[in-house]
Amino acid sequence: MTNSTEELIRTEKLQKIFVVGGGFARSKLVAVDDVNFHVKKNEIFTLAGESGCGKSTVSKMLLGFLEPSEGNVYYKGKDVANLKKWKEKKGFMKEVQSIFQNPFETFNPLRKVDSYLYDTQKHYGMSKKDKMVEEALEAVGLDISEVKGRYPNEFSGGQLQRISIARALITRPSLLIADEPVSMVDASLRMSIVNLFKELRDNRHVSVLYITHDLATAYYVSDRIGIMFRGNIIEMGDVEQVLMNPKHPYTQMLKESIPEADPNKKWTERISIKELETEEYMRKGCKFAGRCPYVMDKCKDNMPPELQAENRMVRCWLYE
Amino acid sequence: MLNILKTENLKSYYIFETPTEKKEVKAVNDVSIDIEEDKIYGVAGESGCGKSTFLKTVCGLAEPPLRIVGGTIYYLVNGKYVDITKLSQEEYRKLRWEYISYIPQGSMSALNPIIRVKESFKDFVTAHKKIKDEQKDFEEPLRKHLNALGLPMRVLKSYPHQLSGGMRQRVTIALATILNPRIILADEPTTALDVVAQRAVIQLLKDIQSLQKNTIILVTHDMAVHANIADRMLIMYAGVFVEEADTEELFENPLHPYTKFLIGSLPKMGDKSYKVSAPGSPPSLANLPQGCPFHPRCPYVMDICKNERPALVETKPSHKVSCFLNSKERIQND
Amino acid sequence: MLEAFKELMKDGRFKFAFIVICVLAFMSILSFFSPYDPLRWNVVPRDRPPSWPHIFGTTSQGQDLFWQSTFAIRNSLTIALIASGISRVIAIIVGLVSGYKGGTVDTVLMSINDSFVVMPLLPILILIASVIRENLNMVMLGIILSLFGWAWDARVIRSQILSLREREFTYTAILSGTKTFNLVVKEYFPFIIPIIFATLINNMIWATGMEVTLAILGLSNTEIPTIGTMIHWAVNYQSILLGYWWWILTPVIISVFLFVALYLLSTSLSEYLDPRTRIQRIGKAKE
Repeated sequence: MTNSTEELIRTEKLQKIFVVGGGFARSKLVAVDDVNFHVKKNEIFTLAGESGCGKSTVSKMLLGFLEPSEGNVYYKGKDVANLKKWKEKKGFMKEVQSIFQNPFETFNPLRKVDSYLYDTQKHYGMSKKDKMVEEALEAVGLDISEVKGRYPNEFSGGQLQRISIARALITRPSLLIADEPVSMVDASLRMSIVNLFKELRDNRHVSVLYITHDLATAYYVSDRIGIMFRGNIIEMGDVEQVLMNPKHPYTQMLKESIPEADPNKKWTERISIKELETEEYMRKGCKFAGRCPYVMDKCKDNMPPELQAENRMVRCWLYE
Repeated sequence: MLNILKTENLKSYYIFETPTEKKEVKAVNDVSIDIEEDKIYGVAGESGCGKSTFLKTVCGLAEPPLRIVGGTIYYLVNGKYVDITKLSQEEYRKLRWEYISYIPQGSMSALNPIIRVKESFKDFVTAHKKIKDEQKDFEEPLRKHLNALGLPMRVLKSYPHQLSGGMRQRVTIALATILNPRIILADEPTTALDVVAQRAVIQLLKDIQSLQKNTIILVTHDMAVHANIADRMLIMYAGVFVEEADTEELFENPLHPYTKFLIGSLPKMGDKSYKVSAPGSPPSLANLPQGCPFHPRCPYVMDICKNERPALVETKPSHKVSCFLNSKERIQND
Repeated sequence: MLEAFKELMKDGRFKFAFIVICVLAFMSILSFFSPYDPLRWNVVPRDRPPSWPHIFGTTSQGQDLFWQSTFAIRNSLTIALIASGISRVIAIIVGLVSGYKGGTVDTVLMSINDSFVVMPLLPILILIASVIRENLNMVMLGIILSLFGWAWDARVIRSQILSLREREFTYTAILSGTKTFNLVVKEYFPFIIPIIFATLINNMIWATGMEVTLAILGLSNTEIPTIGTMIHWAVNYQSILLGYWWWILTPVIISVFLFVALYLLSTSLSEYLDPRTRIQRIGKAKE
């Protein structure tokens, strides 16, 4: 068990069920199921998975924007669901901030970008004299003169994303939840943003929950990683272990499918895709059973529990 | 090897005019390039560098506010070079799709959502060819095409919304290539797709190229995709091509400072060493700096770079670069 | 503000509409200087065609058409403004609350809203009008019309809010510590304003049309001069049949100009205010 004073945020048996359709044609979509993980101080934890695996739903529940169907989210030991009053919610948001995937949607196109920065400064009890805005912009490598008085469409995606991070830093948070922060930023500029996360962890003691589908940057920047598949975390542990030596068949397949930026390492094997069905979400038992090369009968009926194998958590009957 | 596509001093700008001001976005700024047959070319560069505009222009789809301001675009059609900027609407239409196939960005949404996929194929084929015998002229070639590409037959009976994003993209590519085009221009075909779907699309494009022996120009900012599929690469920056080489050569010996940054900043599995991107940001295409467009960010900038634009010249066999550090021009000017 | 106006004036439609509205507004102001009381009859010779000093001619009741028109324009515009103004306020409040709150509040408000939408307007108006005809002064008419003019637009505003609520900048604003009311005002209003303007003007067209309809049917207080009542009296006295064309033509031409001007104003303004074109214009000024 981890030392709870070191933990920032923790989820227990987090679950979210969406009801799809209406009237007589209703069905339940279990978007997130039995998700248990935590983020410690001074660490970068990645929640990785392909689109549709539930990772964005998890981040919305962590921030309180979506109510979990079951399970709890604890911040520094306190249950986040109990924060009802505006003051309590603001206290939480002071410590836990977030940035989003689409830098062009993060800001209202009809408002000047710096207004959000000044708003944050004002609402969290700081005055202009404290110069928090200038400091935050400096931390992300921008000068106030470049930003002041301008609208979002005057910036590039990379710049907007940095301004978004700057805004989040104004409250001096302990945890930054970054939901796909670089997927819409050019490949050539991604590293500068990802390097910024490293700097935040090392020099400003901000932990980062990095949510992404890009395993290459996840490997580069994180300490620990959790791989999600169809709503469950199926492998979790130290990033070196999980990505260099994956144990779950899905992680193995995922790792093989990443194109290497090296022309000498092209894919040699062919794949054939059977349709990726939303029925996979509706499966009883292990959701990967339809595609797993090592599938056993047991897998189709029973969801494997969180098992420990070689220094990490794996949800797979192979490791019982 | 013959060149299937040639551009000479191609310039195409977005021109915005209001009564008070005129703004020119120089998206393609004097580009001269030769594209060989039977090869896969990869065009890489950041968003906003003009690569999508280049593709649209070269395809003949420049619509206001995008205008071809200068230069020529030649295609090799039946042994002769044809300047498509000078063709009539009718002649151009014939060329499109049968000869030049364009797969725009986000095209997985281009399938008509209210009819089945098979009908979309039919609409498309009948728009370009007369079908006398449906079985022989349409169904048979369609089945063969899908089979060769590894797509399951049941996609024909489905509606687009029943297919996943990756499958839709592959169907769109199959649609764009059913008439055996000689050159395929694909704009970001793998963006917004999952890693596994991406792999399938790349595999599909390779299969098409080896089957139909045509040329593919693939535009994407993802260098890893280029590494896997492109034979030859073009790096674009601020509306111009700054480097051109075979893929292995480019990755091993990048010559242009921008390319060096690009290659050096790619994260690799198993490598946790510190990676750096190029400092600063690319210039606005409406407000380009004088001289070499990269000079404000270049660590090797010299005086000449601020005043003159370097041409794209061959400095090693089959390896062209547009930079005063490397070009023979410098030697001549010294 | 001034630049916006200058920009708009370059649009031919706006220019025309603006000029016409200015002329009509000027005529309304002139009504305060009228030498004749509009409620009195036989103050001038009857049935005179347009000539000096009666430049629009006179009616069979012995009223000067020009000065009658000034009152008519003033009153019609007043009714229209009251009706559309009040209905905007109701529509905004209902649309905002319904859209942002969602849940039960939304369901309840929208049920009320939809009841108003499906109500058969003309029969009810006729009923109300015929019951309280004598007491139906302009303000009353304006208020009654406003009660029927908000429902459709409230739904439009609501759907705009619904889509805005899911956009990422809503979350950014929440994380910046902005409270609900401020959020709605600062973030959403700029998107709502074009809808409000466009629907305001459309509502004015509708309200004027309703007033004219009621007046022609003889259901409003025909003593008060409005565009509608002028037409009513002209028809009643069979002015066309008797060849007094100036009597029927004056209010008709005025109303045509008014409707066309309002329509052009509405389209040119909403095109100008559309967030999508605004965004393109915003960064330009800086370059």
